[in-house]
Amino acid sequence: MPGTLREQVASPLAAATDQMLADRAADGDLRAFEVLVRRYGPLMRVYAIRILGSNDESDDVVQESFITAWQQLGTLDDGSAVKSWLMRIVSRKSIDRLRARRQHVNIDDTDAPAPDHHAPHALAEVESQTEALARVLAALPEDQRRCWTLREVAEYSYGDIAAEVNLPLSTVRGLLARARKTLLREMEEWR
Amino acid sequence: MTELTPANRRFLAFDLDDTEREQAGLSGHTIEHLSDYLDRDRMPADASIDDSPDCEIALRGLERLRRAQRLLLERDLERESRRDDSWVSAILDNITLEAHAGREIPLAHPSPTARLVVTEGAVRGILRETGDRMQNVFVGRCVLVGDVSVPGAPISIGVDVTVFPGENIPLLAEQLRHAMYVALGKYTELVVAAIDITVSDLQALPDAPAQEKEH
Amino acid sequence: MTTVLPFTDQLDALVRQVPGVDALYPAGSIVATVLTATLDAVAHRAPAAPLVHTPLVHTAQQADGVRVTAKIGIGAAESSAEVSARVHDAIAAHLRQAGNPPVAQIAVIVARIG
Repeated sequence: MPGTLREQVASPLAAATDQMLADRAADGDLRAFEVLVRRYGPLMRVYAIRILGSNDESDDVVQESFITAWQQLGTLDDGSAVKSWLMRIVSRKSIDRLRARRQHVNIDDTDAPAPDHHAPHALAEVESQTEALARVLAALPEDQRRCWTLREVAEYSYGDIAAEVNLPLSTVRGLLARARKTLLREMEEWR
Repeated sequence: MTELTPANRRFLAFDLDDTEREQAGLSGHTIEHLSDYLDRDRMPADASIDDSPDCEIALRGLERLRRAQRLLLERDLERESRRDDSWVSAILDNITLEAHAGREIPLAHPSPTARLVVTEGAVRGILRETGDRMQNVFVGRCVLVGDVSVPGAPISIGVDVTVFPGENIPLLAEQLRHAMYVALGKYTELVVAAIDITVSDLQALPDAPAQEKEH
Repeated sequence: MTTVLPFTDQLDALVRQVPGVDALYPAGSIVATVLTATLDAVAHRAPAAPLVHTPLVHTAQQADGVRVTAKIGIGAAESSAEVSARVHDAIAAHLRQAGNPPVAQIAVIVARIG
């Protein structure tokens, strides 16, 4: 099969720039594409997990994102921008999933991946700060969580986030400020 | 640092709904301002922020939040990077060469019902391979210019190449061009009028490749 | 119009045995279409498993005769013209032996080299 993994050897491809890899992958080079999958797959999964929670759907979304990327690489003009291009694909597919899931479960705006909201005090002693942060992030409203994830995981500029979520820049800034205030307030509780 | 925080004012600055209270608790600033200030590495210095104990406390909180975010991202990335390789195979097994096959390049056969072709994608593949077999050369994009579907019609090839520093670029380009002619002759019946090689120096990457056209 | 013809079962094995053939890929556009459609849909479940039960060499009975398409990968040491001609000739010989139906086209696509 064309997708059979080759033996992992130290190939010059592994050290190649994003631009070189994207150019070669756009020409149909599966090995270059594989390097991109390894380079950005973990970040894309972290992204999907932030939006969807940790489950099979996150895996599916990342897999679908790469298949789409493979098919559409030829449309990417600037190969050096492949990272943010991949993050945009996984971002869109994650949101599609979230909407589809909501239609299925027929719940309203409450956010699905949030675990039970325990009282922070009760958990403070057993939770590390990162775990607590992950939990609070999961409990953020969807629009705030999406902006936060685009900013902090995908490293988007405010302007790029506004374009991606199709909201005015001022709204995006407001959502991010609100997310940060919530996180700050929760962090005060953990100390 | 906590001793600077009067307990009864701790949450005032983080009030979610009341901007006036937020500003009152932060010497006229907001968490958004302070976050932007941190983004700019506190430059240019703003005395109304730097001299405010309330702002300082909030800035420390924001910095702590950033550290926690960074740790969380590092922890998550490490966990994802430690996964076994099955997820990579799952992706690669589900993609097809179809998407990049490109045009069909005819190969001659005496039978009128025969249609033998090599795909443009396969030809680009052998051009890359040819470069990969040479030292200190890295072949990027390859384009076949001209009507490759018409037997005998002259076409040209454009190749982007990155060369490692210190190499003799004209010599390498000539060797690569020769090797590519040989490969094209072996795998295709294309009439290749020219192979244009555009060389970038690896040191100039990734920002602004200094390009040098080689013929 | 695509009909499964009686001799199609053996074509995959036949093509794989031709010297110089390294790999055999699905030649029917149906496979690609189904796969793409599945993945592009707003999927509520995992993508379909690769369709492995369809013969890879594609055959169709049309008004003007049989059309056969084989998509192959060849070794780097091989010549694409020679290997594809061998594949063509092997398929043509097989058809002659299997009732000698009228042949509209035998297509061989070299999709990968080396």
